[in-house]
Parts: sequence; C-alpha cells; structure tokens
Amino acid sequence: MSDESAILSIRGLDTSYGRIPMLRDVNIEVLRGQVCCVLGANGAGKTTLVKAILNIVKADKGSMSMSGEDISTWPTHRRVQAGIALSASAAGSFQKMSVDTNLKMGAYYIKDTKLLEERLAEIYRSFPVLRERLQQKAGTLSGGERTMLAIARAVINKPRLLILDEPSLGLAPIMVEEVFNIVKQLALQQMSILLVEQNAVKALSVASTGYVIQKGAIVFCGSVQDLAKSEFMDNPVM
Amino acid sequence: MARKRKSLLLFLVLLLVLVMIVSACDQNATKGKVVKIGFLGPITGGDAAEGAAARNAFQLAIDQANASGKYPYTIKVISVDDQSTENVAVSGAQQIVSDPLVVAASGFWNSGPAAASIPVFKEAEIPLLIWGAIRESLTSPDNMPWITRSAPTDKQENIPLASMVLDEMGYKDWFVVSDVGSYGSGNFEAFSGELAARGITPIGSEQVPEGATDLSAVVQKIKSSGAKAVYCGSTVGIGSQLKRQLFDAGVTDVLFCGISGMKTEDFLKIGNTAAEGALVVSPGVILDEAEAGRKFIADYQAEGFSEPIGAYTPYAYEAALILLNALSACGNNPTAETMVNAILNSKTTGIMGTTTFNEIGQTTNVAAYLNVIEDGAWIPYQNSAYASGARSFGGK
Amino acid sequence: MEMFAGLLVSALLLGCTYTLIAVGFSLFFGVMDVVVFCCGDIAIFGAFSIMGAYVVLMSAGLFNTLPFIVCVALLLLIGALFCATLGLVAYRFSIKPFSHSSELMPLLSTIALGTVIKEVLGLMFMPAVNASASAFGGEAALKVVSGRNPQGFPELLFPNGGVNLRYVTIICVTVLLLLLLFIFLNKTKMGLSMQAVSQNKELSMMTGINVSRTIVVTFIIGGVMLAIGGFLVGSYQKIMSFDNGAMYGAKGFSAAVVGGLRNTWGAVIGGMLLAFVEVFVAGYVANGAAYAGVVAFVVVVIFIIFKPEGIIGEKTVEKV
Repeated sequence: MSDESAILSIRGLDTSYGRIPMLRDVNIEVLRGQVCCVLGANGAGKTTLVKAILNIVKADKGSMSMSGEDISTWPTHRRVQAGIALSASAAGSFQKMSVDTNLKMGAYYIKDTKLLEERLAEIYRSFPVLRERLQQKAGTLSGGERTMLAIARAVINKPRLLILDEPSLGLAPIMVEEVFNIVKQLALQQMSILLVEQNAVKALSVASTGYVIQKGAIVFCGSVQDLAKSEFMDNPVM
Repeated sequence: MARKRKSLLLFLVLLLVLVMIVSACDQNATKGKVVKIGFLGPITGGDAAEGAAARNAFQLAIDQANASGKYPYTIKVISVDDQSTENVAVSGAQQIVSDPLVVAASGFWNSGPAAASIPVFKEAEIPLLIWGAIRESLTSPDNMPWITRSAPTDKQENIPLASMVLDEMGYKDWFVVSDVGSYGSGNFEAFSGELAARGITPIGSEQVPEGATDLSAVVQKIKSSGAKAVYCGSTVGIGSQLKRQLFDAGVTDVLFCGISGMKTEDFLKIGNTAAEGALVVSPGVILDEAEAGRKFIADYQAEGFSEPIGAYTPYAYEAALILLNALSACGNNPTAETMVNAILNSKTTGIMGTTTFNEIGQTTNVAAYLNVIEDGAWIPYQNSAYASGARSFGGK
Repeated sequence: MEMFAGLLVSALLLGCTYTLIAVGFSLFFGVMDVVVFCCGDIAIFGAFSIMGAYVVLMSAGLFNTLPFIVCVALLLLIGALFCATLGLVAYRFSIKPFSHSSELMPLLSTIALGTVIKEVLGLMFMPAVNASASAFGGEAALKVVSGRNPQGFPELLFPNGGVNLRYVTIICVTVLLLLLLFIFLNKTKMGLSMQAVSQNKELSMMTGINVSRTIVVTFIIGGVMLAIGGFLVGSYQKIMSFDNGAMYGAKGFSAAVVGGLRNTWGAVIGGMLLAFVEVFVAGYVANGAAYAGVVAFVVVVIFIIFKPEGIIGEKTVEKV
C-alpha cells in the first residue's frame, strides 16, 4: 500500500469539527530516520492533524499506515503502544504529579522496571534541568522546563515516530534555541520526527522535507531547500 | 345537521320526562317519609380498607335504627366514594347537598378531601360531622356551626398520654423531642402545653428536621441532661431511630413515650431489645372491654362484611349514633336547619364513651389508650408487665 | 466531658459515612468532570441489595451452613457487585451519551437516575425480595410490606459484641478502605492512570492511557466504595428508608465540594468537617438540632465563595 521506507503515511485524510470541515484531503509521508516538518499559521489545522494521527480527533475519511501496516482503525492507546509518541506543550502536564511520576506516566507501556530505570537515567542525562526538579510537582515548572518535560515524556518510550507539536510555543528565544538543540540531537540519533511548527526558520533548520498547511489543506510538499525558496517563506513566522 | 340536533333535543326532553315519571313513581312507591343522610369516605383507592369498613359500620347503625321503629320516617344513606381525592370529594359533596331530602352528612377519613369539601357544606348550610379526618384546623370558629368532628385531633391524643405519664406515673424531668413538620410541631406544642399546665419546665427540648436519620447529638444531649423521661412527638421514622440511638448510647433508664404516629410494626425493626418499653398512645377504645363494644363487634361480624374492623371503623359507627341521636331531638320533621343545633348540643353515649362538642365543634371525648412494646410486640399497656409492676420503664 | 466524648464518637461515625460517599463523588468527578448526583442513591441501593441478599441467604439456609464471617463477606460482595453494575449503568446510560453536550445534561440525567433508583427501591424491593426468598422455600414469616416502609438493616457487625465494637468496626473499615484506595491510586498503574485522566484527559490519551477503560474501572471502583459506604450507613443507622439517598447524596456532595471536588483526600476532610459541624452544633446549641443541617450547608457556601478550590486544593494554573 505504501512505501516501506515511510514510517508514517497519511492518504486523503478528512476531519471535521461538528459540521465544520477541518482537514481536507491531507497526504503526508514521514520517512524513516528523517525529520519532516509541517508549517502553518495559527488555526491552519496543525493541531487537528496531530490529534488525527493519534485518533484523538476522529477521521471522516482517508487511511493511515505505519511502516506499511494499516492503522486506520486503531484506537489511540494502540497507536501509542505501537510507537507513535506525541509531545504537545499545549496539552500541559499532569500538574499534581511530580516530574518523576509524569515521566513514568509517559512510559506507561514499559512494564520492565529495570528497563524503565535505565530509560529514566538516560532522560536525566539528556535533560539535566529535569533531574533538578525530580520531586517537584509538574504544575510548578517554568514554561521552558515544561516543554522539556513534554519532550522527555514522549522520548522516554524511544518511539518509532516522534511527533512534536509546536515545541517553541510561548518560549523565550533562548529557550527556543535550547529546545531545537535537543531536536537536532534526536535527529542525529536517526529518530523519525514529525515536527509541526509555526516558527518556519527554526523548523527548516532541522528538517529535511517540509509541508505547508493552510486552511486545512496541504498547499506545499517538497524538500526544505525548495520550501526555503518558495513564496511561503515570505513571512517566516507563519 | 339541524335535523340531527332537533332529534337530539327531542330525545333529551323525552329522557327528562321519563326521569320525572320514574322519580314520581319512586316517591309514590315508598310508603311514608324519607330522611337522607350523606356519607363520604375513601371506599375505593389506597385507603379503601378504612373507608369501606367505615361505610359498613355507618350503614349498620342506620339499618339498626330503621329496624328499631323509633323513627317515624325511613332514614336513607347516600354513600359517596371520595377516593381520597380532593376533587372527587368535592363533587361527591355537591351530589349530597343537592338532594333536598338530605338533613346532615358525615364524612372523611382524609384531611385533604375534608378541607376541600367543607366550603360546599357551609354554602349549602348542611351540617357535616367528620368521623375520621384528624387535621386540627378542620374544626374552627370559622366553620361553626356547620362543621363538627367526633374523632379526636392528632393534638388531642396528647391529653390522655399526659394524664398517664404526668399525673399517674408522676415523671417530672422531661426532654421533649419532635420533628419540625406540621405533625411534629403540633405535638410538640400540645405536649409542652400539657407540661406547662402542670407547672413543669422541660429540662430540654429539640426539634429535628423531618427525615433526619442521625439523632446522636440529641441523644448525647438527653444523656447529659439527666432527663428521666423522653417524649417524642413524631412519626415512626424518627421515633424508632431516637429509641434505638438512646438504647445504643446506654440511655435505658428513662421512660420513652410518644404519639400514635409511631405505633406501627415498623417500630419493631430496630430490634426487640432496643424497642422494649416504648409507650405510645393511640386513639380509640379497646372494643371488647365494654358491653357496647362487644355488641358492635358481634353485629358487624354477623353482617358478614368482607372488610375487617379498622382503627376508625368504630368512629364511623359512633358518628352515625350521634347523628341518630340528633335526629331524635328534632321531632317528626327534621331539617338541616334544626339538625345543626341538634348535633352541636347533642350528648351521645355510644361504643366509645360520651361525646359532646366544644365551642368550635370538636369532640371533648378523647378516647385513647396506651400501648407498650413488650418482648417485640405492641400490647395494650393495661395488659402489660409494666402495668402489673413486673417491669419498669426506668427513670424512677 | 462525657458528652463531649459521646459527640466526638457520633461525629466520627457520621463522618465515616459521609466520607465514603464524598469519595465516590470525587472519583467520578475526577475522571468525567461531571457531578454524578446519584451517588447517595447508589450507596442506599447497595445497602438495600445487602438487605435483600441477607433475606435470601437466610431463607436458603446459608447462615446455618457457612461460618458467619463468610456470609458477611458474601453479602458485601453481592452489594459491591450490584453497586458496580449500577455505577456502570450510570456511566453508560446517563453520563456517556451526554459527554459531548453541556455539563448540565449529565448532571440532570444523574439526578433523574437517582430518582429512578429511589423509586425502584420503593416499589420493587419487598416484592422482589419476597419472591426470591420464597423461591428457596424461605420462611413464610416474611411479611409483604411495601418497600417504602422503613427497613431494618441486619446486624452484620459482631451481632453479639455490643454497640461499641460495632462503632469501632465502622471506623476501622472506613480507615482500611481509604488506605486501600490510597495504595491503589498511588501505587498501581490503573490508579495512576485514574489520577492522570482526572488531571489532564487529553494528555492522558496522548500518553497512551486507555481512557475509556480507565473511566469504566473508576465507575466500578467508585461503585464498590459506595456499596461499602451504604453497608456502613446501614450498620450505623439500623433503619433504612428507600429515600435516604437524596440526603446522603447532598451531604456527600457538600463534603466533596468542601474538600475540593477533584481531591479524594479533601473529600475525607470535608466529610469529617461537615459531620463535626452538624453534630457539635446540634449538641451544644440549645434547640440546635433543627439548625445543624443548615449550619453545615452554610459552611459549604462559605467554602464555595472563599475557597472554591477546596480545603486542601491548591491553585495551579498552568499557562501556555
């Protein structure tokens, strides 16, 4: 059905909110080991797309497959279990739980306690700021720390596909820099990443292929080099 | 169309003529004079057991009177089923008062239908003697002289209870409890009044919300107050709960007494040991204690009615006796007008004692007797081990 | 002093009964964000199913063959089963169908369900119990009385041990149950996911928690808590009426509000606070019994106005 090298491929996806159509005929492919970015302005349908990939928003039409396996009918938890991890800073955190518990909730499907400890140790190495806040309630973290936590919570699963929904949202420039450094490191580790962003300049700096979404439809699809030259980049922050 | 209406009209006129002829025949056929009395009660519906038995007893008394030959006319009963429903009762009352031969009526087991129908009788100036509805406000100066009642009100029950526990048993240290509802506060006032009349100030008093289930705070208050007797003027829900919680808290050396709303089998569900010794007044008389009562039971049973004698059946019989007594006082031509005063001034000795009416038309005869729980059953106090001295209520 | 001690015990016992119902409210509110108003009725339903099962087990002769404690455990199990089923019914038929509409809809539909539960008890309890008891050739001494009459709750906690032992047991069972709930919520994966769903439903989905299964499990656990709550209410009160649910529901809900609706431990403190206010006002204010309930609700109103997040709830506003 789909190219074996694509970790995720979306074909003809339509969604709606009540009777209002949200996404129309969206086709996206994320290649294994690559960073693919989807750029779009506020309200273009980026978050809807992300939620549709996890079946949090139900699709009206279209199909979705993961490494060639059709996942269109899978419920959310099964998709997560199969290795799609979503980090959305807009979704917040489990405020009343400690940072440690938040991470453990992220690793919901890791049953092996030894493996879990190893993963946690890894996370604390990559995100030293979180180690300092280990027992602190997530609700008391700063914006940047929370974004780190959101990414760490997704990464702890070593997902087959990592979806980052607007990691730069609401962060000071210096924090944005730090977040994208992490994304770059993850990309270097050959993690397949779908990066959904408003900040086009930053996104293009890490991605290899790019899509542009406007009013719920994909209006551009191609390499980042082509995207950089296109008229969509006239306004770098979309 | 017009033709159809015309024929309908013709039919109605014919019907009217027929009715006139038939009723004329009826009057011709009956030798001598007829006097009619209305009876109202819940003959069908949820309260049918009480209502139908009362109707039987009422009819029994009238039949006995007709058979006695003491009356120079035939007495007929117009029996109306109010179905415990107000609007049915009102139309039944209208049916009764519209009959020109009706000189008096007796009615109602339910207070609601009674209250709704009273204006009909007042308007028509037909005297109504209430035999079984016990809401206090039914007899009042406003309703004089048309409305009288031969059953004691719920408040009046407190009088015989007070004379037993205050005068005969001599309890002085009281704690008075009731609920805040109309039944509860009516009893609360009535019993407090009885206490005040004897110069007793209760050690404490509490009114709890209706439907209250946790009375532990009240129980602790009673415990620490040192009261020797507890009065509960409420229904079985709160009454049994209070008795049980007193028992659980170890407050057993006190008299626990109360009002007829508690005298149901449900009281025993708190367990026999917890319920033991509850003293409760209930209206009426123990029929088989007196000759008149035994005769009533025998007569009633001889008729083979399907409904057994209920708590208010003797009251209906008694009401009929009062009306018959008033009829005798009115000579050969009783009218509604003469019956009004005859009822008010009557003095009737029937199966429940001697009935006279006070200034608002309420009976002064409060027939009531005491019951006590002994070994898991309600029995008349006078037959109990408490009356014989074998057991004691405590608090002495 | 003796009175003070007596009131203290009363307040503790009453608090235990309020607490378990309040915990039901807060569990349900946590995962569904709706006030399930029929919690009190579910608890009373549990007590009634235990009463009914008692009569049936009695007439089946089980109390003569099995040890008493086994029978009591069996009764509790039956009560828990009934309430868990009822919890699921509440979720499936009066909450889930309205999960996408206004918050008022499930509130109203659970109030309606509460009325249904109450009326079913009032109309069918005795006939159903009588019928099933006589199916076992049970004793004819069973009187056909209406389910609307007060019912006597059987003596199941140390029938020969006296009232103090019974009171101690009620308190111990409550504490034990809360302890178990605490361990469940914080040490098991299901408990943690219940907390997660309560704190952030969308994120829970993203994390891969099976949210609908978590909700179902919550309603089962809540139902079991309410069943045991009803059992303790029955054991304390001894006389149960089919319509007690509304009162316990109102008290449990108030306790949950005082504690902060989402906060299970707040519900415990709220239940105790409410019971203490009620009992001590009734105990120490002359003619206070009539006003104790009112004072308790005034406390609730004060909390809603000045500390809407509840007694130990913390204000955590996450800005994004």
